Amino acid sequence: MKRILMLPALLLCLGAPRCEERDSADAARARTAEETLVNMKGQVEGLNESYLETKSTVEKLAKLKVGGYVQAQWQYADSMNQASVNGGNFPATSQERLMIRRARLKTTWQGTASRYVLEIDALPTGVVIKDVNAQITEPWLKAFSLTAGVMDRPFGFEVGYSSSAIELPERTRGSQILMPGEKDLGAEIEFAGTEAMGFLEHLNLKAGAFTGLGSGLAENDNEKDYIGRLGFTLPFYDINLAVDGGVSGYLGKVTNSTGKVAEVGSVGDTLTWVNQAGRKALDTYDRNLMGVDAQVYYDIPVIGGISLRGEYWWGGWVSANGNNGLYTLGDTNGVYLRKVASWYVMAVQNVGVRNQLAVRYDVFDPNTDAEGGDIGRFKGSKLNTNDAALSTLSLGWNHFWDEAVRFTLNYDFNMNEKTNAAAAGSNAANSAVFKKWSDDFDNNQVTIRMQVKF
Amino acid sequence: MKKSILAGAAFGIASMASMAFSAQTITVKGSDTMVILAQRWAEKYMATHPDVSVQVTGGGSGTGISALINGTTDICDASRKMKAAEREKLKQRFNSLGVEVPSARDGLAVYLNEASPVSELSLDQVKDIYTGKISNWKAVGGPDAKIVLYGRENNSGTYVYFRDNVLKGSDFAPSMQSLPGTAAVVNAVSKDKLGIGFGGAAYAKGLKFAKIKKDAGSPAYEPTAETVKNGTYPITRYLYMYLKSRPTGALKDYIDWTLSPEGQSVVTEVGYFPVK
Repeated sequence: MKRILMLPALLLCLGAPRCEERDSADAARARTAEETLVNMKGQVEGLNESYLETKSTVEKLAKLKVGGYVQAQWQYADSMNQASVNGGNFPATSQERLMIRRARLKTTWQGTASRYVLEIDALPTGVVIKDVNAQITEPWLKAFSLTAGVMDRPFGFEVGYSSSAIELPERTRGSQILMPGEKDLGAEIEFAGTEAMGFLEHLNLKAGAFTGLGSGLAENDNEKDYIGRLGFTLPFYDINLAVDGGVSGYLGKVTNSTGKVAEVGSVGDTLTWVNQAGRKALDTYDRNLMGVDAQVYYDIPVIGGISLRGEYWWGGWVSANGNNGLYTLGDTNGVYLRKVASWYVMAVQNVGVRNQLAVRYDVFDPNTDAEGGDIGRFKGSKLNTNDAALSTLSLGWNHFWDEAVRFTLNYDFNMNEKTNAAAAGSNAANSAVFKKWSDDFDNNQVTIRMQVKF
Repeated sequence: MKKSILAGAAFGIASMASMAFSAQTITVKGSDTMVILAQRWAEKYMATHPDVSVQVTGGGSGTGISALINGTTDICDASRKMKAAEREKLKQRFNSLGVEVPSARDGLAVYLNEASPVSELSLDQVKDIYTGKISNWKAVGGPDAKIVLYGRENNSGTYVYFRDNVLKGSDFAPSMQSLPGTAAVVNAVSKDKLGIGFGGAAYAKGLKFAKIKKDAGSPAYEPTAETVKNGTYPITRYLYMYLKSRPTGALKDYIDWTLSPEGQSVVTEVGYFPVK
């Protein structure tokens, strides 16, 4: 029995140093593991701290958005020196051209209740500012906002439609002449109904006071142009139909540098521009326009969505000299007070996901008091081809290569109101012009464009 | 002018050719909340429709909606409704309002760590916690310790839904840690005794759901099939599929299948609730 008892005791004695060694090794390993754990914890905390710092930076950067697009195009016209509102007039020695139509870079910083926008158009001919404005939104309803700076004039549908999204290369002639460059400097209040507002959700309003000089000129008189549009959008989701529209108003005043004023009137049998007597320099003249617009969207099964759009503008306009564009203070030729009208109808049909067909017919009449037959009828009349109505039938095809690239093929059939050639023989200065305009002359144009947008 | 006519013809032919080569592939992109559901749907559908390939990716509802507007996905999964501004962009590009397909219901759960002594919260308390008004667990019956907020990034439909419907439009507290996906929120809360998170009820592993009360005097409910279906659980929402236009062909067949009893059984398997 003793032997039996001694054996474990011996084993214990022999094993004791080994146990101690093992305990010591285990303790060392535990210490190492603990140290490793502490180190790892430290590293994780460091990473977490670094992550929080990075997150803070990323969140700041996420408020800053940069976007832009380039439109490069080739155009072919029926003749050299052709007048065009699709990319500008052709040179005297060329009927085809390669050009960069737009090269925009837009930077937007969007805060919780404020926004900053700067957009430039960087063309080979120079850099111009398109948008530069600041916006604040009230924090309660988040439905009202105030924007100040250079922005789209809130008039009609087409003016505010993005140049990168328009389905044809350019806006209509009327829009380009009456709202050149789309932008103006001013302050605007916007209301956009929210879901919580019931029926008001479907309404939107933009109205503001603008200089009336476009984006490139500093204000030079005390007059403001008041421009606004009240719009609605009625979606019928069950049948995938939407009916949108709006009513626009433009109430402006123009200061004349001189006392020279011309209005259309009759001298004997002759309809002409008649100089108005008794007018003084720095008198102001009304520049008023009204507009209505409507858009219908419908999803045609199998083919794709279609939209039908139309817009009609009319009113009294103040132009410079015989030019039917905007008058600006400083022009010594005086003002021409004219009644104008502009309208278009348009259809856009998506064909599958990548293709889109667009058709538009637009008319701009820069002088609704004068018919085509009045222009060139009498030798003494000052009416000229700037008073003739012009229309364009545009056919466009868009191919969306991917989410960034779009190709556009467009053909413009340009038509002119036929003027009277009766005075052509007796008016040497306008002889050739009246003869040419007494029929629909060749001035069609084709455009192939590539757009890359990011 | 001959040159221009030739160029036009070539352009037209190229466009038509690209239309003719569209394959039977359906792409699905969007909500991370729905990504498991969408993958299961795709797997089951492809098993019986070998001629169709359904490719699913996540990225968040906002990312999916952008892809739909850009034309880079056929279906956008979204755990929130499309915003009016997004509808406008879709209208501008496709001349269509888009098609909204409610495809499942979800109880949006408030996650707590399993060790948390807190078991129920009122909607107001959840709002106050996430807006930073309540920052200590003691205020809602827990220990005297700081609440650690976990949530989603702002491109997530869950983020937008929670902000609009639980926080009533208020902003999240700046201290909230925004994580890229519901699984990441679940993982964070399951490891953090002082953590709180939110997300789909289908992701409940290693944590517990807070029972939610409509107000202080109401009974508290956990998100279950019954409470979500009968509306007693106060934070429920639809999960949507959005399409550019009315579906046809393989796309229509797939959508119809997801809404069929077979497709809706997948909804239940994944942990959401059927719409039919």
